Amino acid sequence: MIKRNGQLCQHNVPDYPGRLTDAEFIAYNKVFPLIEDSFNHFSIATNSVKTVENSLPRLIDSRLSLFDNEEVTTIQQHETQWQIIEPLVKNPRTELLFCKRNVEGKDEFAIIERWDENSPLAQAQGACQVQMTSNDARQLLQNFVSGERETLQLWVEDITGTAQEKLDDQFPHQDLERVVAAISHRCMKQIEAEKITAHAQSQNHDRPIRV
Amino acid sequence: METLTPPKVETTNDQPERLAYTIREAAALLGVEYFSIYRLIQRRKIRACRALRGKFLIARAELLRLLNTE
Repeated sequence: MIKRNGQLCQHNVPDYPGRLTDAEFIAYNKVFPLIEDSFNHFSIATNSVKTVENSLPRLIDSRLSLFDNEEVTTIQQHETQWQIIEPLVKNPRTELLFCKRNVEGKDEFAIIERWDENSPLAQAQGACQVQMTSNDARQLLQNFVSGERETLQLWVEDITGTAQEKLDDQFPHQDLERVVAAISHRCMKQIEAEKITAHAQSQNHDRPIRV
Repeated sequence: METLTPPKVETTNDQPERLAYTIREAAALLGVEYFSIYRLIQRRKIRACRALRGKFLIARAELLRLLNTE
């Protein structure tokens, strides 16, 4: 069995291909609970993004049938009225909505984030924020998913940085890089892309996206 | 006038005013999900800085700006 600093590398931790020594394993188990809350939120967010990703073909089709449905929900963002095609993500305090409106005979699509209207942020900035708009629903949704993945990447960096900081505080002067790597792997495993239905990504469109 | 109240979790009345907040604290202060805060950073609606080890911190002034209280 492989040794590191005189200790056997014998401990497995989730989603990390290597094995940790006793000291690393102790540090991992001490620090992971400190970032677990953020990790759990991260996992939920990751699943939401994957769900949207896997729903892209259906969402793109759904825009066509919107006006066949007589019961259309609308939201007001400043002085603009948007029709909700479908909520993409629904959390207790945040919703992301795929919306549509008609401007001078042309369809315009948007991703709108709606915060809890009682939250301090919503009271200061308004409950609805347009994240991005486009005349091309497919391109809009693909850009949205891409942006969400970049956001998840930031989240991983934050979790990893926080873990590193906690390790430095609690285990000074120890080389625990592999513990940080194990935590980073565990996060990255969550956001590994699943095979996306090619239908949504197979066509290139060059219409501009306004963010 | 400032109306931002420090999160109960990590501050007490004896502590001096905080200069910066973690994402978790910022989410609690703004009343939104963690993901919304990262989204605001990614879309450059709010500026975050990095602590020595790479952890994100958001300046109090940024939160106040977002809450229109500065």
